[in-house]
Amino acid sequence: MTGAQAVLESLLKEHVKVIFGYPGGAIMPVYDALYDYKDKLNHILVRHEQAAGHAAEGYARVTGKPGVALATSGPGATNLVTAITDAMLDSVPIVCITGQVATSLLGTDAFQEADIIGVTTPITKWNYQITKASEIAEVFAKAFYISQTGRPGPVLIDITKSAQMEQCIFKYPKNVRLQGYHPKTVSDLAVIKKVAEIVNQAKKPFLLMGHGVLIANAEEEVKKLVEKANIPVACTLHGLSGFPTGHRLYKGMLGMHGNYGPNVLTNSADVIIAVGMRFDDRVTGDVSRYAKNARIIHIDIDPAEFNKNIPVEVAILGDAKKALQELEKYVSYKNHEEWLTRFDSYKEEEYKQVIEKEITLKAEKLTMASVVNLLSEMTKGEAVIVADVGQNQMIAARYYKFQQSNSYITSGGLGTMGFALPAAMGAKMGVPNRQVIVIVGDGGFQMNIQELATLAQEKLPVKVIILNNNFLGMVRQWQELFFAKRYSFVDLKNPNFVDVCKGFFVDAEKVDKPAALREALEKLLAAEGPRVLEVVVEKEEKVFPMMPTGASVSEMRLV
Amino acid sequence: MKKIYLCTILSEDKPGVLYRVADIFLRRKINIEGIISVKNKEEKLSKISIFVEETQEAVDKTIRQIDRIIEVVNAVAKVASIEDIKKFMKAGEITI
Ligand SMILES: Cc1ncc(C[n+]2csc(CCOP(=O)(O)OP(=O)(O)O)c2C)c(N)n1
Repeated sequence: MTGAQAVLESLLKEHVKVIFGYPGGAIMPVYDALYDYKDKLNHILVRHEQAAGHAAEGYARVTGKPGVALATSGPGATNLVTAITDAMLDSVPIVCITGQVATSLLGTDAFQEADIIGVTTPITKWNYQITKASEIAEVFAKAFYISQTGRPGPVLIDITKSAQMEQCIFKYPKNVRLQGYHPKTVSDLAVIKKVAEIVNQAKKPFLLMGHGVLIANAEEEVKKLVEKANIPVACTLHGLSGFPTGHRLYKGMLGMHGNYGPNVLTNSADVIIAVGMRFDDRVTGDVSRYAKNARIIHIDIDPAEFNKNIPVEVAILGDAKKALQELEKYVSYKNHEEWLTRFDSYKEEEYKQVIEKEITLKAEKLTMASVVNLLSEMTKGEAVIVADVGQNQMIAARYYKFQQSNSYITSGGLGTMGFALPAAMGAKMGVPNRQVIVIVGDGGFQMNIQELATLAQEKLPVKVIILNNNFLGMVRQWQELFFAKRYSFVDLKNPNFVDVCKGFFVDAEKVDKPAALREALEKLLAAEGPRVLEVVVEKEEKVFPMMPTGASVSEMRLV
Repeated sequence: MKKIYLCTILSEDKPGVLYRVADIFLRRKINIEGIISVKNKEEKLSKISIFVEETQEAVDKTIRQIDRIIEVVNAVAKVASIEDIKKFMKAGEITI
């Protein structure tokens, strides 16, 4: 068979069902082969390669399986760069396949030649350029293995056009062995026992769960452990939805715009168990004043994370699921009621000073939080929320009451505006039976807005809520608070979003009165195809609480 | 305190490894004082020796990130001895 066919056969061997892509000269042999694989591989034609990358991420985030993006050489490949970086920072398994100029032309500045291997080396877990068809099977097997094992991440395979056209014998390897890569480590029992002892002695233990828990499917294990040992839990942005928000031990979200109690009390805890999280600066604030009273236990699959930002006392290297299963055996129930109730007073204060006025539907103007709060109620917390970046993202994270895991998808590490709409397309392809809802600002919606065309073409019932404050809201908030209200280039003269959507053949409606919100949301949720709801919200709303840059977690501001 | 460290990286002999290694030093703004990469034909491995002047902490973090590179089999660092430095200087004089 040809190299191009070998590419598609490799995808079938990896049980790939859907590809997000965009054709062009250097990938045409693969596209030609795709013509005969239509019934086996579903190809979604996006409108910009960046969207293919984010869609692959969305698919991977909800399914746990690698998402696949396909693009041509040169500009097609470089358009993937933002999505690849995004996947790298958020540990998302995606496999990007790019065409490349013919092997004989490499390095000659040929038409649409870009050194995409050079460009993506710092932003991929692994990448490889295939110049002979005979390499395809082995390289694909490696790429899929690497992307989804250990700490997942993006991989890129660049294939020269000549390799796509060459004949080869296709033999897909059953196992992949890599001399220097052994992602499955087993935690040492002695270490586990030592950790259990520390936990059992703790007076004020606190478990912080991150994305790693969701990646390892260890949500149940966290729950069992904290229930057995009676320990409060908080989630990072990417840990959200991994722990039921209504649970007695759930104390909220960590981080810059997280909840008051869990942030402030990080500095009171005497033992911190950090699982699958990386002490990101948005979580720690000033590291020199972070968790100074706590003995820190770090469970992670990536040894490079240990002591990277925060010094830890004991590190457990390995899969969170196994580590927690073991740890659970050795911990015992302790009465931590006094410690647990300390969270309550902070919660009450946050409720009184922030939440109550944010979520209450007022007569005249809508707040972002009131929209998300009502949405949460109407969907019973069961939807997949794909949030963009900015105030909308933080409000969605704070006010949606998640009941099911893998339900909050957003760009955390890179903070990529324009992520949500394409990522939601991928998520919807991954979990077609779940309600997938985009929450996006008026700024971010205009990045990758072209994907409305993809939604319309595929009749993908993704639902979009634009929280329109006519500002680049989050930047405006910072200018208000830290730059003396000098609003420098943050107000937007927006298009008529409803008209734009309709122009793309996507149904849309605009709401600016609180009284009309419920009905508009009902229509949005009930729509059989894609639908957009633009909600005009207060222009100068701010997201609180907030931990200003350089502040300590205990210096969270409520106003 | 900064000292001269010798980082020794054993890796599969594949293109691009040196690029990834150098990039990790670059991202941390660590200047490479000297570098030698030699192939070991029998074991199909490359041995990369890198001298840097840095703190223990920075070197440790860098080495752990280097160890993450898929092709890297082993990465370690130690304070360079006078002998190490002499050997390196000598290797640098070789002309082919
Ligand atoms: C691609 C990209 N460019 C710039 C930024 C910086 N940025 C972060 S939040 C934000 C404002 C977002 O405004 P909008 O999409 O309207 O959402 P809001 O904050 O108002 O909810 C900007 C510009 C970014 N995160 N990503």
